[in-house]
Amino acid sequence: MSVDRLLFAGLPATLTLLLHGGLLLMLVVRWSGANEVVAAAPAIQPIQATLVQAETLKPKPKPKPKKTPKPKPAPAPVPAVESKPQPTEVTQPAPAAAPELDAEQLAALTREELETLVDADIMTTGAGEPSLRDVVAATIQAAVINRWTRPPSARNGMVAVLAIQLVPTGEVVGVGVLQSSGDTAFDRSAMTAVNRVGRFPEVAKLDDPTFEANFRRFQLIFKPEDLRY
Amino acid sequence: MTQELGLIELIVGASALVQAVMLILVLASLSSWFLIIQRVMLMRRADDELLVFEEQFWSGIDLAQLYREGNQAVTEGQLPTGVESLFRAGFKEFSRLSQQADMDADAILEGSRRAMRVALMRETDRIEQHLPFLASVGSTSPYIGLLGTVWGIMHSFRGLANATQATLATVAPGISEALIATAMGLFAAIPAVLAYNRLAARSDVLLNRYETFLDEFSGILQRQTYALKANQSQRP
Repeated sequence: MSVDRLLFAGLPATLTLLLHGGLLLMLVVRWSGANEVVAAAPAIQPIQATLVQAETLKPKPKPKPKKTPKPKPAPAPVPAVESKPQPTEVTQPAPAAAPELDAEQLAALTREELETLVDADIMTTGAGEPSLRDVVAATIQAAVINRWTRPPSARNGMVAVLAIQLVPTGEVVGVGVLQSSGDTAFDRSAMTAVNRVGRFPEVAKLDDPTFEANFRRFQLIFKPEDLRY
Repeated sequence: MTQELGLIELIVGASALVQAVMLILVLASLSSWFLIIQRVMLMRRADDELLVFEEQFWSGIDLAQLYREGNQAVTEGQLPTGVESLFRAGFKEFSRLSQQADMDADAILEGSRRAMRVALMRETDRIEQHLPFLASVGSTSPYIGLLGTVWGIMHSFRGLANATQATLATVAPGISEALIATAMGLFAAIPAVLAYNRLAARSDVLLNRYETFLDEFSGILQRQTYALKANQSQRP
């Protein structure tokens, strides 16, 4: 009887403990290997996600007025550095009104005046937060333009899109050509301009969500539209 | 940046409720595996015993001798199990009743059948004992695990609300830790459900065979009773 009881209690208990112990051991030993895979996957994910989500720096109305004075002999030696339009602002009536301004009038305006015009539009139509975002975008644009020297091979109609990565302090940590203009010298000049700036101090003033959403990765479009040829 | 997330660290770092859930699930898993192995052993032994006894029973042996052989084992302290207990209960009642002269054949038969029914009930209890436990482990432990997971995820998202920089890395450990509870629940539940179904089917088969034996044995007893009573009625 006692042998029987031992058999019917001891053997299942031993087997059960062995099974669970073995399983736990297997999990603990193999855990680190599985962890590496898990850790690698999310590291790639955000890069792709943010790249797909193309960021905007400047509302649409800017390139439009610039295009009209194109045949004129360069009102100011200023290249248009803009980026894709933000969807919310495209739908706004205010930026749509801007291109309706007289072309001559617009041509006379300096770049800064245009900027203030655009900023005023945003101020009147948008909330406080997007306007701060756009101010920062405008300063980034201005800083890059100031340091941009175009190569002699630059032509009207060339478009180079750069992908720029920032850290929250405003430091540029990565510049890459997203869409080449077809001219290596032109692409390189654009990259050099961004690298020369090196740091956008205004970005540091932004709060985290705005930074993450707009300036962690963004695109700059380089278009020399004021050239004579 | 690559923070090492060991299984042990995850479990130790879990909140109290999640840890309690994990403890319950580990206990459930341990006891259900214990029962599974024990029940399977018991089932196998009952099958073997049934085969051996039926072979002995139908070998043409004298039933009284078979009963006496069993007596020996009982005096040694081994209680009869399975189909043997049925046989012993029926035969004991039969011999006891048939010694009383005023008993008619039907009463003797009825009495021994009842004794066998009682023994069969006892065997049913013995075989099906603990099976409901397996069933409840199988059906409830996924829910218990889910509770732990939901609670853990709830907490890790609450922690996220206070974090200034919300990244995947902030919530990932919490969620990973919470999901262990579900994994454990499923780990406990799946074998329990499988074993419950298997053991229930097997015990049904076994009990059916016991019942078949009960009917066969009552047939033999009926023959003997009527022969006995015929002899008794002829004698006076």
